[in-house]
Amino acid sequence: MYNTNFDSDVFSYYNIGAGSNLLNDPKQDMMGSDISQDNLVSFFGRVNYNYDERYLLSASICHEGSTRLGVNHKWGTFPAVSAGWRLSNEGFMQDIPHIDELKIRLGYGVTGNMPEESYKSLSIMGVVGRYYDHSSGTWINAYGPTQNLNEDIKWEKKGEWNVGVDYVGLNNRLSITVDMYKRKVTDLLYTYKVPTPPYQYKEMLANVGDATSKGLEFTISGTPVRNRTFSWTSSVNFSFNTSRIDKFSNEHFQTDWIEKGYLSDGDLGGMNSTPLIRLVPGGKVGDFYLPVFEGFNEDGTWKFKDVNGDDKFTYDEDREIVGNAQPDFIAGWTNEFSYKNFDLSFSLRAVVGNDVYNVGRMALENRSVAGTGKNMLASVANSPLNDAAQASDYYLENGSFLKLDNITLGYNFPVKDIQYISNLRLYFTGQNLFTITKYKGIDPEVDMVGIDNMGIERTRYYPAIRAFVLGLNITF
Amino acid sequence: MKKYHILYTLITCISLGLSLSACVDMNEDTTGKMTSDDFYSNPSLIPQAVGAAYAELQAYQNHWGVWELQTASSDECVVPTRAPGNDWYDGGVWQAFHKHEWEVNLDKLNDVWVSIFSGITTYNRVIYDLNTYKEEMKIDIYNKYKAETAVLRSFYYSLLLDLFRNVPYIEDYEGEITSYPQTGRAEIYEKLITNILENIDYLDAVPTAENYGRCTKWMAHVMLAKLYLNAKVFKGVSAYDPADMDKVIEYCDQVIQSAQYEVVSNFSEPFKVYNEDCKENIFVVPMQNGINSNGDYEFHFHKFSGHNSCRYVWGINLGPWNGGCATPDFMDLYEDEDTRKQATFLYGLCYTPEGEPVENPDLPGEQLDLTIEVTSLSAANKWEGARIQKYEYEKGMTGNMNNDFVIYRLADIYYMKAEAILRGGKGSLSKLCNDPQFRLIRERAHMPVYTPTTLTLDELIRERGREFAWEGCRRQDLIRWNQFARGAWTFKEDKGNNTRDLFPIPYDQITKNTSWKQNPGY
Repeated sequence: MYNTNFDSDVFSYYNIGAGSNLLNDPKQDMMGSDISQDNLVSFFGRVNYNYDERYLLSASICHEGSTRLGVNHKWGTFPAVSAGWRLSNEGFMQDIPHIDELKIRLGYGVTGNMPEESYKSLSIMGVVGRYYDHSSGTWINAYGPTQNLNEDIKWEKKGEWNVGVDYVGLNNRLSITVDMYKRKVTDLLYTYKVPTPPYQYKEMLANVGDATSKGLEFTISGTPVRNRTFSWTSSVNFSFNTSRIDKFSNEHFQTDWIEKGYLSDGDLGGMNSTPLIRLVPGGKVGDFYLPVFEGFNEDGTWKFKDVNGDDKFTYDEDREIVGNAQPDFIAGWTNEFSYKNFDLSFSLRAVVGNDVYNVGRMALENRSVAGTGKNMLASVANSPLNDAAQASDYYLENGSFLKLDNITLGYNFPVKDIQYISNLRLYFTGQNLFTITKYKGIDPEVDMVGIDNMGIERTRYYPAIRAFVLGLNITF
Repeated sequence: MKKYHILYTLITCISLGLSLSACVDMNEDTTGKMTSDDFYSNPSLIPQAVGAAYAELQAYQNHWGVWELQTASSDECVVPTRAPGNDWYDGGVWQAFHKHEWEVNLDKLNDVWVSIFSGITTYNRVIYDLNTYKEEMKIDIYNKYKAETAVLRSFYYSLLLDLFRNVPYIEDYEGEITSYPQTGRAEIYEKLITNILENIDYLDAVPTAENYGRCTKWMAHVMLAKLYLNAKVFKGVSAYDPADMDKVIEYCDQVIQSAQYEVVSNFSEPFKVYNEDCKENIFVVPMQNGINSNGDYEFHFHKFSGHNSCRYVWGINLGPWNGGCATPDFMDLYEDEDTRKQATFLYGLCYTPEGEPVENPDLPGEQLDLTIEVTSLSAANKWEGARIQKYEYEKGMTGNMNNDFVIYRLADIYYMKAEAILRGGKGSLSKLCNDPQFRLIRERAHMPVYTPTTLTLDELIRERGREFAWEGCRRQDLIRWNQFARGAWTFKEDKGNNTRDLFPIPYDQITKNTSWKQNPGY
């Protein structure tokens, strides 16, 4: 492909879409090219101090600059300090039985996060449309501002407090680790809508918000049984986390809420731009904000709670917080058994308290949507629903689940006497064997991290595979 | 001593690091990017900044743009929710437009407001930039570009006057739109007339390839004629002022006597795919498939209106979306002999161009019969309603339309003149009825020409409907005849008052300025 008749030489080789030849040739598709450069410079120093294996101190400082930031705030300083006390090495602890190791940790650190793209602080011009020139019979690129000047973009900062305890005891057959943390993010980067005028362009990246994330994690591992022929190791872990947005407005940039988790026509016709999740200051990340289902009328039409008291149902006005995509806790349990040359391991994982929005039911459990001659869910036969599709908590389900992630049975052949082979192992693994859940959709394990899709099982959800693997490991 | 050694080392390292950072250049390398400084230091790029003003017009005709507000709320077009499948329910938007039950917080109203003001902002920004770089341009280039942009801005403000009326009039690029006070309607009206008159002489008087799709002197005349014709509505006075009607006739005569345009003998010629050379068109928005990746700027009447199986009738290679159709009451305006009826709409039994019957996919075995009747607004059958085919659909097309969208054409000038005379302007109706160009408008529709007895105001509103169907002026016409809010058609009732002759200031806008007053009745 090629292009000629470029709008300006400023682009050099790096913007192949900016030539009018490509624009006007009906046989060629539009193409683009881009260049992005940025520099990150860090100066880093750390001090470690260890007194008698009992008192540990680590301190570091990082001074980082990124070209991506605004001209007023290119550099940031990020300190961290952590202290540890190995109690088990103290004199007064030597006589206490069943303690092989006991350590208390405390730390605080600040890290920085920079914008995901370069050039966000500059005033940039770009193609904003095209206009027609009949004398040459060609379309020409029209230029306008595509980014506002923003000299104040700075590092997003995360300060994290962490306290933990490590315990090992019973002749190294039991270990317990507990961690508690609190993270506070300040100067959260978000792209705000701004008015034009006075701004040149309608959006601007700015550091405004604060968010807090708190949690507790603990792991208990142990070897309950160990003898000559048989051993059993088991490990349980739990993690709890709450994440909230504290604020995302200041006197210059405001937004009352941020809506996410949009449905589109690809999920279900006529539902374009329906948001399911709303973030509000002080609210939890992943709160579903939906109409409240109160039952069906006799004719099968929807009855929703009248939240704003005006006796009419409008999607925007009659919604409430009805659930959350984030789980109350996550737990895992791993076991390993070995008997003579056999080994067996399995791991289970549970996620509890998360809500999942079942778009599949919304589209396929509704006769007026599926129409005639189309596949529907069997549950439609019992459904009194006789109305157009509407998003509400009727389709929000408890997505708690327990999954068997992996089970492996293996056999190590005795190869001591074979000259060239030092190890030979045959194994059989099953992955994702079963899921125990009340959720009626395909799989309650939907994205819980990405803010756009959190907790939503869309109609185009691609199921996770179940795999069986038979394998042989040979080490020569 | 060992401890101090460590401490000194530590302090030295930290200060070295912090001071070294001052020597590192952290400015971005903008190779391959165009910053504002890069752009404006190159005066030959200025026309491409002005071009942004014309690119804004491409949103005007879309079924989510200004055209939608003017058309879906009139008797020309209804978009029923189709059953089964809930198609075109879209949160009840289309039903609300048809029944005149739109809410103040309807997103669509805000979208159109934002889109129009975004155009005005672009025009103000371009004029601001032109003024900043005035010294580096030749003076006649500067005057021409400034005139074109100012006239475009007036065009957009005339849309605001028509749709929302009580808006702030802004010519600078200083503050947020909602920070300005609302300007009185009479003042906006006067400013528009003045603005156009100030700039009209810098615009081209002869339509050429260079100024195709751009503001010309005669396009500005049409704007003036429309402003004077709608003066009673825009200024909010109780009766038509004969002096305004005289002005309408004056400007219409100037367009006619310029001899740059003519009424063509084929009604469909202004709407062909390649309508660039049609001498009836005065102001168009050039469109082309794929030129704008934003879906809201596409020209796609075929997709918006066509039944899915219309592809076989029109010979196009995509399945339309089965949305908007004519209201049955609007179809009643046409006599069967009026060739415009079939030139504008597709209805009845459907055949391919070779004469084969087209099957109705929802009634297997039966031929597709697009009924004029629409039985329900919330659950219409998929085959109900007459579909638009006024613009030629290119055979084999797979995307959007390449036809240029017509905003002003000469036939409108003649009918505006007739209306002005009927409303008290100084002119001879019989002389107009004898004008061959005026007669051609009816003759090419195979309808009897008007005489001073048959050409009445009652007849003219119906004739305007037939001639200018789906061209975006119906609502404005109905309002002049007091048949918009007070009219009744299909599922819409007479509202009993004139509140709905105006759209409300959108909720998102009016809440930003406590001094703004909502339009009366909302």
